Amino acid sequence: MEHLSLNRARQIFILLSICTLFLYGCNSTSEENVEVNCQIETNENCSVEEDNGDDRGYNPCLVNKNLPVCKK
Amino acid sequence: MNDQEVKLQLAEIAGTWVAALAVVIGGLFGIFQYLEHKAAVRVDRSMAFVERYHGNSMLLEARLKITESQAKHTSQLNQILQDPALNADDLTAKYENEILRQIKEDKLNGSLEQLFSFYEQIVLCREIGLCEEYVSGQFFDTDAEGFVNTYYPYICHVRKEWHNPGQYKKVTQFYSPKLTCQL
Repeated sequence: MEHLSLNRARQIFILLSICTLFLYGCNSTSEENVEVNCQIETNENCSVEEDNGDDRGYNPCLVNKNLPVCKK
Repeated sequence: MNDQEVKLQLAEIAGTWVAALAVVIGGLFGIFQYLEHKAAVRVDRSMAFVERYHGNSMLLEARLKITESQAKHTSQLNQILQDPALNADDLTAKYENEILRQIKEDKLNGSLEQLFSFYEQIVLCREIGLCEEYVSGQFFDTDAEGFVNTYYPYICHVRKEWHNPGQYKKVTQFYSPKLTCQL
């Protein structure tokens, strides 16, 4: 009887350890894998700010904000 | 109660607690996995839109046609937009006329319809929570906002022609909520 209970406790302990291991493992890999494009030798400038794409495409509001569509 | 019985009882209690804890942790882990999966599915849906945006031949053709037209007429538009002699009303009227003229000249109606519909689908997907907000925003917001801002006279024109003030409402409300068309 005693032997059975101890066995069960051991099994549960192992299960718990595995669960904890999974939980720790979840975020262990970095989500970003972005390589740095700058080369120090060529003095290329990297913007510190994140590229939000504001330089893409034509937008009349960047030329004149008086259009009705530019009012936010 | 002898020593062995106490040990036995302690093992029982510890076993029960450990089991309960394992169930709770397992449950939390399950919930965490479910949420991760849900977020991943949303990202996949957004990426499917990106693939269509860059891979669908009709959409590409439409975008190319619009880009060519823009390249041809940008200086004219800038001239109007930078004219210091125009007040706000004149500027709006002149800009709208010029955009409608360009659309007619370059036959952009079909291309504009396609792109407005596409951007509207993305907005819809984001609004009902099927697409991931940040990913969709990063890929489409700048393009779509510039596009709506440039070609809003066409939206107003279509609304007036079709007697349908709700035409492309989703896309204009999302990118330019204060835009009103004179119908």
